[in-house]
Amino acid sequence: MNPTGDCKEQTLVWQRDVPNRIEDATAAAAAAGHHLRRQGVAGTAAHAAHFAIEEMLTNTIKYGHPAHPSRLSVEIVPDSVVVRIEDDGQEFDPSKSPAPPLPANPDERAPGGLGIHIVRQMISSIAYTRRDGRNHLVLTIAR
Amino acid sequence: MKDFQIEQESRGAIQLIRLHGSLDMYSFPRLESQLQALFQQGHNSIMLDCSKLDYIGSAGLGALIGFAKQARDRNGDLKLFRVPDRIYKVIELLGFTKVLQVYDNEETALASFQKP
Repeated sequence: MNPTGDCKEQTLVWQRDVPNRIEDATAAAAAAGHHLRRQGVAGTAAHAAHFAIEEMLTNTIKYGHPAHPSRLSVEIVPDSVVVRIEDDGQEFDPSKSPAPPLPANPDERAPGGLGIHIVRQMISSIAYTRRDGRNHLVLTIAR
Repeated sequence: MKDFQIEQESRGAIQLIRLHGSLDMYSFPRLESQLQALFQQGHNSIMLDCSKLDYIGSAGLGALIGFAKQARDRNGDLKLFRVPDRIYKVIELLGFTKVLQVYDNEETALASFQKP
């Protein structure tokens, strides 16, 4: 499971295949965050990418039941970090997942199930397509 | 990537827990077990040193909020101090600063337990 770095003009792409286990998903998310910090991406953006990748990969494993490892790639472009996740699990569009009700008093909030909602607040955009029986997710995080 | 580690010390009746590494979906059950054990022993006033915490995910945040509520229900509290900026921004973004009390350092966190 070694990362493969691919240097393009003004971009840097890091990618790996992630087995369908929670420990592999969390390790891949942490490795992506580490890679971004090592490449000079600000701590807040690297943390947001780590958070979003962990949330999306673990959701896929727990609820999408993919047959094969998910493909994760992280690309650094001048103004943002672009995260791509591709899997063959059940069709699920997180950009259309309804936000859970948030009571006016934060003390009453139950954090369970808030993960995708939190990710949507932390990142700039989320795009989803279903092609050839696979989920394709693109998350953009401002640098 | 640093492994998640927990160190525990006492400050009188207050339990101090230092968190190291990444509090993610894989590691947070270890913190849950430790905090649950403290509650079972009657320790309901807990402060967490987050200065060495590299990362917190939604599972870790959920656990901390749940334990802060449990501690208050038992007339105690769970407070955080020395929270790195990138983690504080997540807590703030979600409006959880009203649930999770965050202090600059150990001294101010400890003093806050003494106030009526």
